Amino acid sequence: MTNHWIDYQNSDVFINIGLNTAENHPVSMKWIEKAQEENDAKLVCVDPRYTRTAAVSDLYVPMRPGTNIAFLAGLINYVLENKKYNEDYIKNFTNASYLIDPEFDFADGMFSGAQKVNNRVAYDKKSWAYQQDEEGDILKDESLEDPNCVFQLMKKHYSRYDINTVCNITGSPEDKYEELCQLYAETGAPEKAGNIMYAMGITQFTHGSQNVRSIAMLQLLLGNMGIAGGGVNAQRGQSNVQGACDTGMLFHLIPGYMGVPRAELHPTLADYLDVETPETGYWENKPSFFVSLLKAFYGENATEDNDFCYDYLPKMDDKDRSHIGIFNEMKEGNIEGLISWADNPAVSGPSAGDQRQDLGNLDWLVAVDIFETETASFWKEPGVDSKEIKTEVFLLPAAMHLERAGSITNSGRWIQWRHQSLNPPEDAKSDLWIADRIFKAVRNLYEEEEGVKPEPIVEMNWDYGEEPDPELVARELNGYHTEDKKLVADFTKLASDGSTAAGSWIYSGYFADKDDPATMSRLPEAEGIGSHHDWAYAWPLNRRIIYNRAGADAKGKPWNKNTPVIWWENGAWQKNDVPDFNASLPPEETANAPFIMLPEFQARLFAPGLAGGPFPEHYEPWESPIQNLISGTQFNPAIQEWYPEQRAKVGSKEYPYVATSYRVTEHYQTGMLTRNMPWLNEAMPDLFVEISPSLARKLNVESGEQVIVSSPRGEIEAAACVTPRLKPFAINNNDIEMVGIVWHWGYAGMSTGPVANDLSPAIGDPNTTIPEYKAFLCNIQKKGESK
Amino acid sequence: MAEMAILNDVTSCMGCKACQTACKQWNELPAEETNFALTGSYQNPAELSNKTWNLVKFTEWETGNEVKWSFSRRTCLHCTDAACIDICPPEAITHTEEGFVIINRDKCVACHMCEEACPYNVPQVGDIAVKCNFCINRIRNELEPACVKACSTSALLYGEREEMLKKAHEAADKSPDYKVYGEDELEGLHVLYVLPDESERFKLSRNPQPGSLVYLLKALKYCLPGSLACSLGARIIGKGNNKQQS
Amino acid sequence: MPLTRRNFLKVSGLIVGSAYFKKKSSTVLSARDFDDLRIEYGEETTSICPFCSVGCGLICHIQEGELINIEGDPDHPINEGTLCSKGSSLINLVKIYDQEGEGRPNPNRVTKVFYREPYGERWQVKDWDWALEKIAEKIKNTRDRTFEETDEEGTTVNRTTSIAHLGSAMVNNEENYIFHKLVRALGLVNIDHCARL
Repeated sequence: MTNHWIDYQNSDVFINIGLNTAENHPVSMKWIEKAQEENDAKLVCVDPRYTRTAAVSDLYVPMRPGTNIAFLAGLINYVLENKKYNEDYIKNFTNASYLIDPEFDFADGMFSGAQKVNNRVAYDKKSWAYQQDEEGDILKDESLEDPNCVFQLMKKHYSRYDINTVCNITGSPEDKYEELCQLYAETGAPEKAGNIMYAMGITQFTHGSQNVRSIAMLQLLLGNMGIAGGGVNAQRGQSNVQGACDTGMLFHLIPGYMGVPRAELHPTLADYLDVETPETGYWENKPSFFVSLLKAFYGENATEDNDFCYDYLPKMDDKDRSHIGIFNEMKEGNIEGLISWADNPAVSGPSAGDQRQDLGNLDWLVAVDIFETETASFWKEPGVDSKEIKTEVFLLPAAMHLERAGSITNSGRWIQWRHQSLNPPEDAKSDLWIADRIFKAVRNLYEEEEGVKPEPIVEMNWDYGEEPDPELVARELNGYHTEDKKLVADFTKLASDGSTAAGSWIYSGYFADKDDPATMSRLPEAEGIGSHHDWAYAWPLNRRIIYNRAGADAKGKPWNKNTPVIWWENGAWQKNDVPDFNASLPPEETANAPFIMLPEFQARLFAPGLAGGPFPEHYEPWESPIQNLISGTQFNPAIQEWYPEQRAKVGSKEYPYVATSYRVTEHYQTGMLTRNMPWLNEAMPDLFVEISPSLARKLNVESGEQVIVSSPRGEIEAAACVTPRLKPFAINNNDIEMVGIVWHWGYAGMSTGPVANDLSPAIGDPNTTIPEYKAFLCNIQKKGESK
Repeated sequence: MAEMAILNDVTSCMGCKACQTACKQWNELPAEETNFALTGSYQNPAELSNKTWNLVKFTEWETGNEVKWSFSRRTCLHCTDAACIDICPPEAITHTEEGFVIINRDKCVACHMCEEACPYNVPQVGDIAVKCNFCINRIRNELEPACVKACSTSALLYGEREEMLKKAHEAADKSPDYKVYGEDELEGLHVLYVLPDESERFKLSRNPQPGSLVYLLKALKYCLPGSLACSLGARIIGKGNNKQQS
Repeated sequence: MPLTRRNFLKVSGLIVGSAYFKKKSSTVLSARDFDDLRIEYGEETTSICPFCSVGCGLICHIQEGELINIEGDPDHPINEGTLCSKGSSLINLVKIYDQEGEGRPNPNRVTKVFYREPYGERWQVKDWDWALEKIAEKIKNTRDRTFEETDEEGTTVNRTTSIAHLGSAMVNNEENYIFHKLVRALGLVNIDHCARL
């Protein structure tokens, strides 16, 4: 989230799209309700079905699963056509005026530079570049009238998305859609704050990254970034998914959102720093962050002479090693061992039935959890012959959150410390203890026996005490001066010469005072805009609203005087937050540079960085009941098709319905916790699927009756919930029915049920490989009746 | 002291069931077996029981093209004119000074008469009769009831009844469809509602009536000694007297 | 009545010294229970809810080492004492209630090291020393056989592609961080977690 939960109180209009706030982040509704009561704010719920969020919204707009880009493109077009954008904002703070190469073009769903590589489109992005003069300065047209400027290119691209066209694709009623456009476009007024909240209903598509881009572009046009009550607010689904990403639990990153070293690009430290460090923008400090990480990892063994042990860091090859890629490698027999901490891919993975078979290709599996998950017990799945499965499995008993200490980072980037409240039962141990003991056991072997390349292990800086102390880890994560081990105050103190060490630069400051660390601080704000700077610590630099220079105009006047974030008054910057710019400079010197992480310092309405195009373009999901209505390019041409034989054809008679999957308030993710909690099993006892009354009539099914849902990947049996909250979508004069599938169940735990992800496809976004769980094709029939 | 009340503003409820599980947690109530196929609905359990004193009811309806989905909290409404108090032969049920209706476990003989008497079918008799006790122990220790404490929106509020009534009317003024319930019913309930539609849709009658046998049972109470009234009453309403049988 | 942390504490303070008799937790009150607060002698600790990412504050009441109550932390600026149905049920992770209302430890909790041998049909209970030694051997064996010091181009890569690691959105930052050090030390590149799922 660019903003944070309490800041929701400052919003005027909320769009809840691709998430279900009331069901999956229920307590945040407190702040939305406060805005509704006190600011007369409006909550708009955009969802394929009428949810518990819709029930408390001011406007509900249905939308066919997988058509978010068209839906958002229509909004962008409405804002452009009706001149509802904040013109000063886009001129000063975005690349709207930049001139793009005249060769840039777009036709029939494809951008210029398309090349087919390995059955997918990889763009040659030469024609997407900014025009530059001989000095290398970017050419601009401040009047925004040049046909090659970003603003005009954007107008042209989005002019195709008029309301009628959009609603024909999305199935949204035109009157509701137009009402939303009018309502949200009003947040382009300088004093109004529009907030777009999203989650996996935006990201889990073959075009998920471009969905997020669409949201960012809309927010930039309306001047909703950097202000209180605005933002692009990704509501993260798990208590510490933010922190797990911050600490680099992803194949393509190392801690602090730095790219993983790759063999092809970064053979040496000099190569890494050269390739990864931009000439301008705050990332120009990357050498300080990266070398400090190496010092944290390898301690005194890391010296300037040995490139700070850069070679010890494993280098990535050119394979996609995200979840789908890892399981594909497992299928191919290329992976012998898997270590899984509190993760349950046997239920959460796409085409989960296939992935459970892949687990059987492992020689060994170490699972760490507080309950027996489907992953740890995959060999016990009903119908599976365990005598046929070779995998050696270790299930290690973990401590639950109350039984260990450490910090977690919420969606608003607040790093909050949890003290230990209870002792773990019997042999259960904290994950910290388990990781520490595994490391030490391996290190002992390499110290005592012959082994291949022991140095990256035995020279790793690793001393957290006999019983590992999370506060010692916290100090390393925060960072320290290597000479005297004094903790660094924040990341501005980090250096590239080896004089500092820091595990994740963005966490510098959270534990800077070991006796009174900011992450443990519990002082609520007495007055202000809800920033609560003395409650926990928010990365970066305890900043609660990022890009906050954009919260005031070029002269430093706050867009909204009632909820100013940082503003210029009486010759100085006044602050309700930690400035996200050099606040020693006056407004005119920071006016054109609010987005400090980008080399051009201005936000990208036109963004060449992503695979798939500089502007988001609507494509149908990988599996769709219809041909793409806006171009001849059916699905995102940049995606890697892992298992093309598992795709239901466009308009398939065998699988005629759109399926989408989601969660309910009463359960959590794969259910490994909540299906072992009797009160929650009582409140929501079984997996069910939701269908409209019209589909129910066709199938001759009533609520509570059992149905079979099938896809090319598998089938499940579930109780039907027939409800008018689901309605067919009128698409191009055809009614398209949807099957809504709750996915929390599996065969382990107190409450058991089918694994819904046995139906979902293993296909992902070209940038993130996040699987397309939210729109695929299925069939449904009453149990006992033939198709 | 002033009469107290809970206000359930159904128009603000998102159906998260925090009140339902918080009630279980504070009162240490066991979970019961439920089954989605039985209800075909998000509402589980289907009804109140001796293990479930606070249940979120899910009500779904259509008006024209619009679908409506509302969530209301079903518990003891703590009536002023409480038929259960009137009818209870051992006088196990009493009003507190706050206006709450409380069952005294030491006096209850599980005769089922309160079940029969209650216009809202609230009390549930297992070994003895049980229902929401308004978290009286929390209230007497200056804490809010567990359900209200858990509620993250303004769907559940607790305070002086007069103030809750005022808030109820303010909330109801937002739409001509909204109705206040509990102001005068049974001489005033201590659980008030703001409802998004006519109260009947939520099974809350504007003219709540105790069970049909209640007058006969009441006559028994005043004519016969307590224990005899109990066993005869239990026989009349066709239910065993659990405590005596066990 | 807005319940603040201050009057919550004040209430706790007031009760100290009042008559208290320990009794079996009961689901039904009699008149004499009205003033009894079952958490009154519980020691209070704070925590953060492990479910979604709102980050709601919790207050835990612990008596004689036993968790007796969890509710929202009224001082916490985000949730202000409130919770959802999952947060309100948290105690179920530790204990559940039988049909008589007696609390007992959650029977599904894994509290011992479980081991399943190849082609085995059931778990065996093991101790930590045995398991750690065996896991370390597995890791070393796979790593040593599959380790690449250089790739085809001759670039130093120091990796094994034969072990995979899934970190977690359910563990603490400090834990994920040392997982990261552990797996990089081993040379892993197959690293992900449920962020995508």
